[in-house]
Amino acid sequence: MLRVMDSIDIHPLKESLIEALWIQWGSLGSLIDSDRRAHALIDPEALLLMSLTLRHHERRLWDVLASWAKHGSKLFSLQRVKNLQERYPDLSKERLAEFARRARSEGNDFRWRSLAGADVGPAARNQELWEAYPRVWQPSALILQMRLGIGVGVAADLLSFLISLGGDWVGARLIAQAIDYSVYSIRRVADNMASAQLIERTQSKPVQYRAKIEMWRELSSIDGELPVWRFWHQLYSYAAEIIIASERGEWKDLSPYLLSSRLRDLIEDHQEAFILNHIDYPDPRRHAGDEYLPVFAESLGNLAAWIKNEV
Amino acid sequence: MQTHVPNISAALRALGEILDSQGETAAVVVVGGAALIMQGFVARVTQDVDVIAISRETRDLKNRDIEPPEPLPESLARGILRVARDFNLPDDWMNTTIGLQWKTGLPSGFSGRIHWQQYGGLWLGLADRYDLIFLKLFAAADSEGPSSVHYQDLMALQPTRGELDVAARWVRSQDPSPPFARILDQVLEHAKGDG
Repeated sequence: MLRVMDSIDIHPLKESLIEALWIQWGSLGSLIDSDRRAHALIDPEALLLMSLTLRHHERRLWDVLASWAKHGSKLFSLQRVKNLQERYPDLSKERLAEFARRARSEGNDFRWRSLAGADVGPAARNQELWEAYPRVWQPSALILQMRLGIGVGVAADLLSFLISLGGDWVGARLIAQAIDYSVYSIRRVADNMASAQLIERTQSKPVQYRAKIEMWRELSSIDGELPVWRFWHQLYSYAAEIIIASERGEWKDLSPYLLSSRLRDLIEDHQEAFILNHIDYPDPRRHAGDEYLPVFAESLGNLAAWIKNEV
Repeated sequence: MQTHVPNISAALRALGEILDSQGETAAVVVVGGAALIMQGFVARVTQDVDVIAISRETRDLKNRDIEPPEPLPESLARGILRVARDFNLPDDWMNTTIGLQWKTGLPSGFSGRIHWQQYGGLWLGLADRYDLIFLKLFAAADSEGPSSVHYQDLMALQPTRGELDVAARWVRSQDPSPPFARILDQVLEHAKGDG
């Protein structure tokens, strides 16, 4: 007899995520075979956490991560990693501690000390899959490019986000949702940047900010289309929870109703992944009890397709 | 937002599953429309489950002591809210408003006539037809009289004249005021005429 959880097929989601991770690592300059380049801006910390979560599916992912721990850990924002990890399963946090240990010991990056565990994780077969900064920066690698140029912190991430909006005005709250720093620090940095005439701000309230696109386009050498912003960390943390819960068998003995109720919890907790990314998702209130199961299963398929298209 | 009225039995089963999955049990005694529907006296739908009593005894079915339902056990209250969300029901779909009846008393021998059913971790006690006649006669007289849904429910219970007379004595003891007595007489007159 088909088990209830078998009706929730997570494989298409997992496959599209793994494909997206390779595209994103490749677009950051990692030495891997991936022809496709990302057109959406890459969120380095979300990429790190999702890759750690799916490490057991592709051994080479760990090789890439170990390479970044050794050679590129300084480009990650520790503050963001600490904030974002809270939304991921425990498994992701345990693996993050291994990455941090490597970054601390092999990358000589002492900032990672506070996250480092006792173990460095599985042996990496190759730690040279990211050795140096790319000769040509992909537009989707803008956050790392900015961090390298002006330092890891609010300013680099804020500018990257504003540039990705192509000159549209945006308030501090949405910026905070995107780059995950406090609204207070975003306002402080953005106001300073506006005073320095690096970005623009409205005079009337609510205060909004925008990038001087042409100036930044020239500086960052982006010729063609600007990279678009996608709220990866909200999406990845949702996907990570689903995949790990399913793989750990947390759903296997549940009745159809109890499973549907758990899935509603997940959707409730991660609604903003759909809202911010403008992804349609079925309103659970329209489907009583376990009638929600097939609808949820369909939404996973749609999400997998969205990731494939939008990465 | 409501697309259809969910089956109240499905909601009760779901509540039982939730309690069971948490290793909890709860026992509630239900009157009103839900009790009539669950025993097949009426075929209408309802979104209300009126809890008149709870029992903290979950083993000895026959000699269960019942008590006023307030406050509901915490695990039960949490489960009610979860089912409300999952079935798009009002948060108070299972409520204890009728528990006020304890102030003036339940029909004599009420607890001994309860029909207990188990839904996972939920023991559902359904008031007996005899007690439902008492409570529905009271509710019919206390609302719009013969035009109310309570009157329709009362008639669905097919009370005999004798049962109506006994029930009327109890109902008069609940509210001895003359205006109430007049409405009660009207209801009884209709009921005996319709019956």
